[in-house]
Amino acid sequence: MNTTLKVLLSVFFVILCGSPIWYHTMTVHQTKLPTNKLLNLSSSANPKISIQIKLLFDEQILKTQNKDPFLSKVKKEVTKLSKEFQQEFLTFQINTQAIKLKKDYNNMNDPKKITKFLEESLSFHKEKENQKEKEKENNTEMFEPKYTLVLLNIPNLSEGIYLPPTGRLIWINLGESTNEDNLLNNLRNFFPIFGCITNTTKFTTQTDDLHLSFILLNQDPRGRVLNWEFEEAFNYYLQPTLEKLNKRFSEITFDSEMIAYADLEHFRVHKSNEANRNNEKGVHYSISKKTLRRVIQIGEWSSSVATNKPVLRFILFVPGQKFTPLFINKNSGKNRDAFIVPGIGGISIHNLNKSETQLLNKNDLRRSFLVFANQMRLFLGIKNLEKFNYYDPSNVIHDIELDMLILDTLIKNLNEAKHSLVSLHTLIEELPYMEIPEEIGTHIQNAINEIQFSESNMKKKNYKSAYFSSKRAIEDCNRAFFNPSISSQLYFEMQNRFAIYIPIFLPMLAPLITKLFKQISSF
Amino acid sequence: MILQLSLLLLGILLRAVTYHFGLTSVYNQKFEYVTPFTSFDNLVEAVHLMSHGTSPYGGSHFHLPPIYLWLFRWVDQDSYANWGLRIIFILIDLICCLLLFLIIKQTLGQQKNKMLNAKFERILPVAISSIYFLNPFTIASCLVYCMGNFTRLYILLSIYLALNANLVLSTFVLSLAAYTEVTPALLIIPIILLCIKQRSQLFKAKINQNKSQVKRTQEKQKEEKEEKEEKKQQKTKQHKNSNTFLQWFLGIFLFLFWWVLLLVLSQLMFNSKFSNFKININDPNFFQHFFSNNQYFTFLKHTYFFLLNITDLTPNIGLYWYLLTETFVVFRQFLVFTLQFINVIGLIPFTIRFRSYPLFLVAVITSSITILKAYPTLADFPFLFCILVMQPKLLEKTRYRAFFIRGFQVVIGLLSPFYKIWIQDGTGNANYLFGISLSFSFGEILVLMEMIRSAMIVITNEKDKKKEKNSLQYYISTKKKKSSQRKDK
Repeated sequence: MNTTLKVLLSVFFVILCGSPIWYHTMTVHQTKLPTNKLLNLSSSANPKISIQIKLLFDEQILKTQNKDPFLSKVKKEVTKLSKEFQQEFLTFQINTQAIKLKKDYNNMNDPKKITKFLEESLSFHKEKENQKEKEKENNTEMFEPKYTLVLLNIPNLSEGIYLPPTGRLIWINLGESTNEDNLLNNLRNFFPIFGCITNTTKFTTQTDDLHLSFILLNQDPRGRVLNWEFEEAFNYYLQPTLEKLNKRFSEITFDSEMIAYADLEHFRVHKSNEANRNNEKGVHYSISKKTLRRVIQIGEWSSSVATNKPVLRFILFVPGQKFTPLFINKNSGKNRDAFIVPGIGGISIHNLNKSETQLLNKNDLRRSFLVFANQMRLFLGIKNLEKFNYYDPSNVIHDIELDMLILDTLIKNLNEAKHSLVSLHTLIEELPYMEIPEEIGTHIQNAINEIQFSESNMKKKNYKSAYFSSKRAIEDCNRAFFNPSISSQLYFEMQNRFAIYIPIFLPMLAPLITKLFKQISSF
Repeated sequence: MILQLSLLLLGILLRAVTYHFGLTSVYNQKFEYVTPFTSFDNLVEAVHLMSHGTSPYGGSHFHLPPIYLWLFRWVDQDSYANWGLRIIFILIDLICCLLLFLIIKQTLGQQKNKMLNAKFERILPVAISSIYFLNPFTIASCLVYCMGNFTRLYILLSIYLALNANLVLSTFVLSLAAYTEVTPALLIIPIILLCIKQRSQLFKAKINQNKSQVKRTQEKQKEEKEEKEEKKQQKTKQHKNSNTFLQWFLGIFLFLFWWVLLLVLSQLMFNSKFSNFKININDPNFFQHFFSNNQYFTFLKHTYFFLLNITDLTPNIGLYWYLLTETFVVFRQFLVFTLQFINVIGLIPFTIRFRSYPLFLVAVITSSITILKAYPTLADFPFLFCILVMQPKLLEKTRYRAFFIRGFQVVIGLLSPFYKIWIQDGTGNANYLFGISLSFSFGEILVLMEMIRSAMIVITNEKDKKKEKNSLQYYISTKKKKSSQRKDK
């Protein structure tokens, strides 16, 4: 064996010895993921949420009816109704019962007093104490969708559904007519509340934090510099709603601002002599509905808010004297004075009366702020039902609606978490060269654990814990999915690797290989 | 002799004058001479941290092994004007220069390396050592107290000791070089080979001396001579075979032994809370010092791992800082491994090819280590040149000398302006500096390739001549036998 051949073979020998280390540097580290658990989770259906409704009849109502057949018939009808209005993830358990109320409540006129009377009679305070004890035991805030629906007969009060501001006690006044049809009609008006959450939301409901920005937009401050009693109006009209929403969002912050000289370039303002929304004749200005579609970003009038949280802007627009009064002209001919821009915020137009001063006080701001509260309902995806009043500041969002919102969010979180995990699993399967650090494995495992914990809590009817677990599951899924290592730039396939290796190895190996072949052929 | 002394004095004077005029502060800012590994500022900072009870590696600037902290434990901010320190670095350069002179002189003294021009032979050692000692890059590196000078000193000393067949000391000095910068560990094979070769040559010389004293009749003398030559060859072969393995084993063992000893010493020093460096063997807790706080050779992370992993990507005249800045994190490990492995790939093939010329093998391996350093300085350039010229006979066939000289002038001249354009003026970018560094490294590699090519040509020519000589001798001896047989008849 001549020296040249020895040299060539020694080079290849050394490269061969270094190959294991080279291979090790080339291998992509992929943490083992709990694939089986993941796939089982994704294929499993979410446990259904059971809503318990206690339907209580005052005995006075049943005097005119045969008790048992009447009750069973009502129960059948109510079961039908619940199936008609329920959502996929809900099941209803309805118990009907006749009760005897101790006091003669027929002469009461005040709904608040009636509510208080009912709470005392049905020993709701005991239930609250029991709940608090349970919460202490379990060390979590308990939340069970149990509702008590009481059917009353109060002739002095108007017929309808009364939703008290807080609590899960609802009562329906049948008024003078206690017949079956009237009863079923009222129940038909009530049950849609359980389907109040729409799928098409105007704003993302998966966020935990929210920032509200309130802007007083004065189009033309010449001669009238406006100011507003924002704090008082906010505390009175919006604070009760936001306190309730704190159960859904971890943190809600807000700010207020006054901006002047807003332009109306996006809007085509038409002058009209037709009757306005108050059926008053006279010159007024209107913006067509078509024009509103061009308003994509009301943030152009925007505020100096700088935050990482999702922002909802509520603008109180005061048109200048030149364009007062200003309305929004709907196709049906009715004029409105508020609209929303999906995902961004809402606008309410406040036409200044001659009698109003430059300081907008709490009363002046009543309508606009209640409009904002109702716009918030729309942004959260809560439907407005016909027979309900949403202009009571303390009751813009009822507890039932809030419960449905939380449950809907819980189910959506679980579905989204499962979907994210499956997508991530599919992505990893398709890209074997993608590095999966241990951090991602940890997040995925945590997400799986949280989903399982959430589902087990749902089975135990501990929906609050389930809700918080679902939030954590979503957070872990997002952390895994949006981890910087899973970046499209790092999906190096074999072709890319060859492009990296060839410039380093080819110039060195090509002459060696050709020489080796020559040596071998010379033998 | 006078010329030599005067050149030495000139070198010392130049260094002293540049020190005196405070050019240290000017050259300390130059990236060509100061790297994260060799910077004296980092040593001063480390000593300062140590004096305040903090780990000297805490600032992640200092990357030399702990023994240097002990050696320079007295330095501070004012030490730049300390003549004691200046004398140390001047002495290092002086010793390197003398070692080069002695190595080349000894090499030229060997029969194999005799050059045709005797005058050239006399001037060459002085010239090459002066090129090193009077080189502006070497002076500048002395000026900035470059810690890389220590490695160069160790390598030259190791070569000199190996040339004198002193295996023990040459492995010790080489272990110092490997202890300072890991990569000189690759020189162990060429150094041991050099030691073995030198020993066998000394042994041959003794046998030749004994042979010349024996007197015989012409014919019998011839026959007996032939027999004795055969016996001598057999003896040397046996001597070789039995002792070679032993010497290899001894060499590697000694090298590893010295290296581990230095590491253990460092661990003891480092673990005595970096103060005082008092090692009391009689202390009953002596071994506890070694194993306390689970601090097992933690300094290795900041020294060897730092060098091998090329952690610091401060721009220098090398190539790795740019490549590793641009590479994706996924490929970093692979690239670092490949860049460091290139040194290892060449070791065995070069050893096989140049096993008969171990000094040239040392030169080639040292050059490849110097070119492919992670943190090179301009002072490595004259060192590289002088190392390659240690066996001048092999370099008779080099070409393009003028091209290399002019090329290096241009490239080295452009290093500083391109750095300034990028870093100070902000008008250029990193590609400017990388382009010129790439040209510089490419030039060094071309020089090495050219010298290897020249060595290959000289070696093959010598082999051919030997073959011819052997065939001629064979023809003459057979002819003489036939004639003697005819005479007998």
